[in-house]
Amino acid sequence: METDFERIIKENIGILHKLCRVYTYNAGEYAELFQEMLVQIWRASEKFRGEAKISTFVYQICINTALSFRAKIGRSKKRFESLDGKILVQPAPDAEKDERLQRLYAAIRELKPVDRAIVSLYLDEKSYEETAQILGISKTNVATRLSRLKKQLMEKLTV
Amino acid sequence: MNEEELKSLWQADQAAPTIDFAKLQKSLSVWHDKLRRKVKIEIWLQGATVVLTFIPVFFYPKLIFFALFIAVLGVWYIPELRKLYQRENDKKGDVKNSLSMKILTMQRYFRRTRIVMYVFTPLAIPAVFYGLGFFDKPSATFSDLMFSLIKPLIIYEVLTIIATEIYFAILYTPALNELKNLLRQLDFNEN
Repeated sequence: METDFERIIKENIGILHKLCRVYTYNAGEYAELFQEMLVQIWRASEKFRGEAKISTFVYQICINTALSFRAKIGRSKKRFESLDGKILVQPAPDAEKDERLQRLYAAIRELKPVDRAIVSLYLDEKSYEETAQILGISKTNVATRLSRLKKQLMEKLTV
Repeated sequence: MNEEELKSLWQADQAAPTIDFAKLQKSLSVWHDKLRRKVKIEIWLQGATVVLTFIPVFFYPKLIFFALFIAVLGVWYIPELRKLYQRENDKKGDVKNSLSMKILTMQRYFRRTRIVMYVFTPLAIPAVFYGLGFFDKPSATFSDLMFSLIKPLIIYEVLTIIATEIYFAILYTPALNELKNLLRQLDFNEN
């Protein structure tokens, strides 16, 4: 029988995958961050009572985890091997085939960590309101930053 | 590429990895059980340390001050240390709130560690001497004995401050600065 946790992951695995692509630079880091996101969602899902949309909930946890990951909070080898030391996931199929997608991820990775989150939410067609709710900033701030970030992204991709 | 093409490209990326959920659930349960056992052991150890510290007081009643210091350390400081290493994120909350909480947790840990190292520990040393009867020598007054401890205490205090600040600078300050930087990025443009 599928648990709530499994359902949440299956329905939102795209969020984890894309945020891991955006916040990591190699397969090892990808697997490490993906695993940590799974752990964090699993812990939080026990206390989730439907106060927000599930995708909002997943985004908040994954972005928090990714930012902590990049800030190297508590990233000891011991901690990330706590789940029996093996990578639990099968590696993502070769996603590098699409050169345009490669370039898009590379361009996003050049942005500041917080800006990567804003762009990811924008590309997933989240509203300003939802983006503001996830990040804890104002809608106006989201709009202002997104306008600048879209320009930056286009410049990087047309070079 | 225009904006719509970018969104289509992004949303078309379905290359997420496959997860063996049975193995994952089992590993998570095992990990969670290990964590609960670890927390239980830590709580028992804490309690036992506090109790054991009071045993010598029956033989050397003046060690009560030192014992109280250890008890305060156990109750006031060790949980703070544990909070720092907790895998939080089980708190609901937006990204900004989460970052702010992490910063507060680290700053609280720094503050408490400084109080323990710079204030409590130097007081604990004379308390041990006092408890073991060093201040009971009939030939010297209490104030003479206290003054004789001043020089070693000053040296101890200076070395403690240097060691503690180096410890923070190496282990925690880079991460704290990065968290503050992330919060500043979020706050940029906020009115």
